[in-house]
Amino acid sequence: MNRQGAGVVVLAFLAAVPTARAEDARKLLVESEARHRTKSQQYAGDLTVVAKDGKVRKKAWRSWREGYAGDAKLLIRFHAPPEVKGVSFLSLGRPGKGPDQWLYLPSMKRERRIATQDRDASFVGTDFNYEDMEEFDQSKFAVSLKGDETADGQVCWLIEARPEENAGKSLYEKKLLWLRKDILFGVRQDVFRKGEKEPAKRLHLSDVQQVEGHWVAKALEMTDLKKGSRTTILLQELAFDRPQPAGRFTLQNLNREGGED
Amino acid sequence: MRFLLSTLSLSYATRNKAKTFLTLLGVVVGVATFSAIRGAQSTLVGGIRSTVDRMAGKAQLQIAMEGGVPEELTETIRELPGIRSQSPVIEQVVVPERGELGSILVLGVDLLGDREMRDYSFEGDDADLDDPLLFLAQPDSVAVARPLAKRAGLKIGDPLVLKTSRGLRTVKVRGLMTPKGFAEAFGGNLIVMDVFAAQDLFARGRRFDRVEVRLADGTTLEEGTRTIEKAVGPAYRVETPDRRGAQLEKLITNFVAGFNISSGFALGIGTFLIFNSFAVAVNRRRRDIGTLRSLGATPRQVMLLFLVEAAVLGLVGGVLGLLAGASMSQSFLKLMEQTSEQVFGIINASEAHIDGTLAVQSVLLGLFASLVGAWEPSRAASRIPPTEAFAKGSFQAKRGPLSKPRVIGGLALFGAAIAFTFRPPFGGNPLILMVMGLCVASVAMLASPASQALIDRVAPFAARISPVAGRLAADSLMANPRRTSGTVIATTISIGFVLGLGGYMGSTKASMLRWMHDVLTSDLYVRASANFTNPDSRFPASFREELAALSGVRSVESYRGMRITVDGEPAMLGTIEVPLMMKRVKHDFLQGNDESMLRGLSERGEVGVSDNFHRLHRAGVGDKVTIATPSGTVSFPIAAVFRDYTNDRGTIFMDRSVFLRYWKDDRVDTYDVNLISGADIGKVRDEIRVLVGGRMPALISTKREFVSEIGKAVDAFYSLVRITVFLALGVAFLGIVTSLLISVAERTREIGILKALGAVRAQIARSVALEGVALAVVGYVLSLPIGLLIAYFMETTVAEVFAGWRMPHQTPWGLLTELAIALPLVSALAAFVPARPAARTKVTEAIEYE
Repeated sequence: MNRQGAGVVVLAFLAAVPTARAEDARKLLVESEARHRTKSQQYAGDLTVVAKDGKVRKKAWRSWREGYAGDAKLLIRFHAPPEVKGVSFLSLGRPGKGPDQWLYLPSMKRERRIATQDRDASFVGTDFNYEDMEEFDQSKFAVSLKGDETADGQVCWLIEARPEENAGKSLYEKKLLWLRKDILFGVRQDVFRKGEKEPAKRLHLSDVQQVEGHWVAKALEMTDLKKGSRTTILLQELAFDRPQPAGRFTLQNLNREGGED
Repeated sequence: MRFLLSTLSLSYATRNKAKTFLTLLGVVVGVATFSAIRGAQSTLVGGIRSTVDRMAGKAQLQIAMEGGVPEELTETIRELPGIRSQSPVIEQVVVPERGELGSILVLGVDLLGDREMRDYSFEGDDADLDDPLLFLAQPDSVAVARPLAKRAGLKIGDPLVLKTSRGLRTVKVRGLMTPKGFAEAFGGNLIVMDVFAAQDLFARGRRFDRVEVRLADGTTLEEGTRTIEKAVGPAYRVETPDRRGAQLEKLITNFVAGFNISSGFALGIGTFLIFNSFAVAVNRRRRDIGTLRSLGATPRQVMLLFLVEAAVLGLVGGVLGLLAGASMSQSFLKLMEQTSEQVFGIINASEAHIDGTLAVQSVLLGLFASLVGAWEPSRAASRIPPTEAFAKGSFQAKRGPLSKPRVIGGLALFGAAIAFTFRPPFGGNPLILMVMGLCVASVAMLASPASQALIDRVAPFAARISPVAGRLAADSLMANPRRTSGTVIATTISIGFVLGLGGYMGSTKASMLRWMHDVLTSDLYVRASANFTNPDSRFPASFREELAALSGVRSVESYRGMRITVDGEPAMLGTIEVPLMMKRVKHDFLQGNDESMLRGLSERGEVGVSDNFHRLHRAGVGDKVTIATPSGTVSFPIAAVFRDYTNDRGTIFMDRSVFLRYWKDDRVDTYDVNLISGADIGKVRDEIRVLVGGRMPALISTKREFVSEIGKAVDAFYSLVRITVFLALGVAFLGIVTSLLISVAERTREIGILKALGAVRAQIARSVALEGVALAVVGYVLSLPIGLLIAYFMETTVAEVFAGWRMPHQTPWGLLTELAIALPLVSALAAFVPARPAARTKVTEAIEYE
């Protein structure tokens, strides 16, 4: 979802539009996408998973993204701890459909496809699942403006997004998005599983800064409201619009060992 | 009646504890054997279904193919309409290095998405499994079911060494599963690991054992099956877990049928034991009966008294037998499970249990057997006139009914048994019960007159052997025909069953050994898996060239076996380079010959079929066999029919080139290596070991070793029948011992008279022992025709009904000799032991006995 934050759930929203235009959620999202679109993004991420019982697990990865929303390509390679070094994840967006996703395991020297059915599975033991790893594409959702609300001290638009039936299966019935009115940047998202009235998970985007002229949240925290666990990702060494080598986002490259790209 | 029971019956039982115990033992052994075998059998069959169901979880369909499902198949069905999810599976039973833990089922699943299929229950300290990345990134990761972990003392991070086809492999516990749903399968002896790691661990290459499918809401099973079948082609089996369970059950039909026969035998012998015991008991208590009759008891009351006694004995024996059976059934089940895994590749692990229905059946059978056994003696007791009952010794001297109608009736029944053996009007268990019933009935009717006739001829010989003891024994035998005939009947029926079952097994094994001698003529056999029928790993085809290049090797044949379905019935497909094989193998043809087989299979793409396939499917030369192949459904003409014991459901043979053309799968189960004359087998074997070392699992056997290994598998198939033969033998000896013990006790008065006339103790004991030997010899001689008929019936009619085979008869000389030695010894001992104390009894006491 979130192209800024870690290749993990991220929302791109428009700048504040305080007048009657704000009622048009679609326009807000389209404008946000146009404003925050970047050709590429890369960073080093530190991931911390805190279980309900307080048990902490840490991992570190490098992430590269090319494209945006429905046509985004994402490659992640883990480099710590040593037990998971070289494990890689590739996601190739398909316009109008769910993306193709693969996980590469160096111990077996082979990639394995993440099936559509598996999108609910935890992504590498975090509170994100594989669907959460997809870029948010507003064109796959029916959206409506629900008003405005304050989140993290910022006045935000509250937008409800429901997956379109013809845009591929989704685990969720709806998502609630909070966009800062001033920069149209998403700072919170609640996701609701099918048939449930309470949100299953909540994503907070914080430490929002400008890097190379782009707004970006350098800290993401996904909380599983049922399990009581949370996953934090801290983004470092952020860079935008760097040219990506040809073939980086391919299965051949995914299967390349060493973890360096 | 209560008064009669407490005064007459209870008093008799108290005075004759040993005899009552032996009679009770007959019921207990019969019921215990029956309930143990049936309990284990139903647990095995139910367990197979239950394991399939539990392992399947929420999967509605399973896609499988012999030799494994290629990974690409998952791509083929990924986008099919109506498919909600799919999940590949590898299933393997392994033995841990710590053998005491028992066999463990390893289930390889795609942990990324398998929760769609199965409910996992990870709780407590197994949080590591919540980090699938760590679990997946380390291919030695396993999650262990808690009951197994508890027994093995395993915790997170502990290693567990498993014996695999590639040798010892260590896995590491990274998760624990609470037994729930599928984790209860295989008795909780379950390990879960990643399916791709399992591929490597168990040498599956890039194949899965099956792919499980869950359908989208609104898609029916028929629609889903049709869609998948259309997409994957006819070579794949697309079936519900329930149907798969039914197919697996079908595979072990013959194996299970053997248990029915065995348990029937055990119960039959037990029933006769009761009959014999009651018959003797009635004879012993005729003075009591006479007293009762004199005091006004009606014949009906006397009969009822004995039947109530029998009912009490039957109920007590039934309950005790049930308890004994429950404790025996787990051992039987383990044996059955090992065989079903070794011979059929079917996995199961359950705790044997005897359900309520079987428990009631068992107790009722004990009751029924007792009533049946006691009916005729009770009737006889009720008809004893008081005057005769009071006349000491007169009854024993009375000859049994030697009426012509009885002899004719017995002969007619035996003739009917022979007729049903040679021309069975129907099949299955009813036929077996019918023939066995006729045999028992005919023996019951004929044994008495036959034994009297035999004893009349044998007794004088006994007199010649020992002037005093022999003459005493001979006089006793001829003077007490009624008493002796009971023992003879017991011996005849029991030994008849033993000879029948044992003879059948002997013929079967001899036929198979001869066949193996004709067919397994290569010098070395290089196998990829220890499992003959369902190999868990295979060789690449290219390995043949490497073997052929070794010095000393003349030729190499590539054998590949495969379980297939023909006309809805399971069968085996065997493929090999036929021209090479025909140079060394001697086939026993029923139809066709070497020429038609060679040309048909290697030049015209035809098939050869085994004799049992020919009989089971009624297909011979000129007919066609239709087989679903990955390239479509193909009808293969039959070129030859020959004797073959590869599979009990029938085997089809084709040339390897034809198999490769249609199946496009060149992997090999076994390489048959033929050496040049004079080559050193040991040296070539060592070279092959070096060749495969570290690359692939391989078992290299010489011809003799290979035949011996197959022999073990055959033995495993008949293991339970063998146990039943021993049990039947035990029951037979028990019958003989009971009869003789009672017989000797009956002679106490006679012994007293002999002592009064000057006989010494040793002479009396020897004469009784000699009498026991004579009775055993007569019973043994009479059991020969019945035993050989039963053996022939099993070898031909029963074997053909179930497996399509007709085993050439082999007279079980070994068994006959063993019985000829053991039987007189046991009988002599059984008679001698009670005869000694009887001989010590005071003359006055002995004469007053009865």
